Amino acid sequence: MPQQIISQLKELKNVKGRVNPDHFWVEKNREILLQQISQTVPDKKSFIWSDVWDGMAIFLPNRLVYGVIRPVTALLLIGAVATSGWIASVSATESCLPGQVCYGVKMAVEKTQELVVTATSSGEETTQMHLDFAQKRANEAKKVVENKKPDASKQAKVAIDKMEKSIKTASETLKDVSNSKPEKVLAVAQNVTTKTKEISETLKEISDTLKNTENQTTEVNVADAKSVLKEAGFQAMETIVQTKEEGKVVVDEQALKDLIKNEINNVLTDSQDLQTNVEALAKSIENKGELMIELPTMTAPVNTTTVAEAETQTSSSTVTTTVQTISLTALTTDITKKVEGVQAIIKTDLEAVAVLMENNQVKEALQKVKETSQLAQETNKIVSEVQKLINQKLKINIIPEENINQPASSTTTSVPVEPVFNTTTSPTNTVVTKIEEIK
Amino acid sequence: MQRKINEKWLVYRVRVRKEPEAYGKLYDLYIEKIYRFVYFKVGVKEEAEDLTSAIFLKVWNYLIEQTEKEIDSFSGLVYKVARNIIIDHYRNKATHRSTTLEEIENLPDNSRIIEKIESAQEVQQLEKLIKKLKQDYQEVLTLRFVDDLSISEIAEILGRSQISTRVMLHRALKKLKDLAEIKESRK
Repeated sequence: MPQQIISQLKELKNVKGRVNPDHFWVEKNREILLQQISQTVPDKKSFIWSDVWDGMAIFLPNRLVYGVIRPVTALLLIGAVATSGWIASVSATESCLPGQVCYGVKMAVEKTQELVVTATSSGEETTQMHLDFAQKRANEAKKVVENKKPDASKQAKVAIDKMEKSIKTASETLKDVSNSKPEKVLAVAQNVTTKTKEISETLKEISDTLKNTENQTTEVNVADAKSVLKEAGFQAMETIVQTKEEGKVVVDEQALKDLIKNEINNVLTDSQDLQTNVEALAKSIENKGELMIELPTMTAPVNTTTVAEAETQTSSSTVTTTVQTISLTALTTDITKKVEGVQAIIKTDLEAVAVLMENNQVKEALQKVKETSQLAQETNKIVSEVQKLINQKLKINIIPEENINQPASSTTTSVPVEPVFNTTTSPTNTVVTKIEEIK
Repeated sequence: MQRKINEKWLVYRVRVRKEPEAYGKLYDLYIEKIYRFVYFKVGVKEEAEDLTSAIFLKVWNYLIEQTEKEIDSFSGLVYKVARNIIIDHYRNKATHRSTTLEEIENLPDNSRIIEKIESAQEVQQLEKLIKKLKQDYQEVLTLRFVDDLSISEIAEILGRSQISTRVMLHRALKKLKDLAEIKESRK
């Protein structure tokens, strides 16, 4: 009897209707279902390692995949990258530069290295890795510029952008180190400041190579990149100071002062660079000083107000925008005077820093050095932009001499002003006119 | 074994690559089984269709959203979802309307049934008898003999051990046999 019942039960699935679904309904339902779920499918994403482990976990137990296979794979990859056997691809791509076909492979290899190191190593090693990447990018940009190919500017920008990204990542991992392993923060931060200084020197070499070329686009990018480096260096020192203040670690006061003194020297170097750049600016217009150039300029209120008044007026001050026709000589003279003013401010500020250091007010001294450094960098950027304008003018836009005596056309608009430099703590409140590009 | 590997490959394609086509193939593999499973519970064709649709949609959402949760087998997952949806259905329904008998009575006289079952009445009777069993027995019988699942698969779906499942299957068959004999003796 049971066998008969079992046979009948088994036959149920062959009976049409009732216990079995209608085929028409099955097809229709399938169509509707696939339509519905197609709308929930996200956009295709690029390859990520977690997909590999998720996929594996479908066929193998979770514990085996995440507890054994993944860490073993990570270790094997580290070993493969560290040994020369696999470095066939690494060494082959080492000399690749932006714009070359193998550069993509090089980036992929570094990405793998980044994934492996981030997953398996400490914060200090991750920071060091990103600093090494940044140095490599700077070297690549330098080689690209030296090769002087037609698209050198574009390719150098690629490398410099990646360098900035690596530096920013290094800064972020340094913060993680200060939270997770404060005892290591001094060593890591010193690493960051040393490396950023080395990269700065590479960028300076790039800058020198470009000085006499017409390619000022990359020149401006180099200035931005230098700012990013300096910011990273200052952030590293601020991290040390903060960690010290929070009592997480005992920091050698002298070591910290030495770091700040390094930055003071860097600011002095920047100030000297300013001088050099302005002299180069003047030289570039030798025998062409009477050429006229049209510039939209923003003029802020003249520096006759006191510091306190300037502080309260800044947020509501307005400027007028005018289009001015000016000779190259007059422009250069104007810039030179303003740069001299900025240099005087820098000198005064650094003297103030020295006083703060003597009084062991390290945090205040660091803040002051940072502000002074930013002042020097901003001024350098402006000088670079002016140089670029002049180069463009010398190459293309020459206004005929009969137009020299015509009155300048002016259109005025009211625009709220932001001070270009943070000079609120300086004895003199000098605001330099910002020169905008000819549109 | 090959079926299992094929299923796992389809699940991988759904979970990781989010391929609707792969899910369509899983649908093809399980639609009839799940429909039968639901039909034996609710007894009404339209309700069984609605609930079956809801089950497959819910399973898709689970596969896509709960990617961190381990899935031992797709069949285990889909039957579990089916049971939960049926439980929710009963809760929402005030009364359980049984129209199985009506549908059976409305069968056209010339409906075709395969040769091994002598008459439509045998099928009707079998269904009626199954309906008289308690839920667990109904499930184990239909999963084992109608859907051809293994004891281990049934155990996973029902959340029981394999030994317990075997025992329950034996008891369900015995009960069904007793009911059939009682029916026979009343004729």
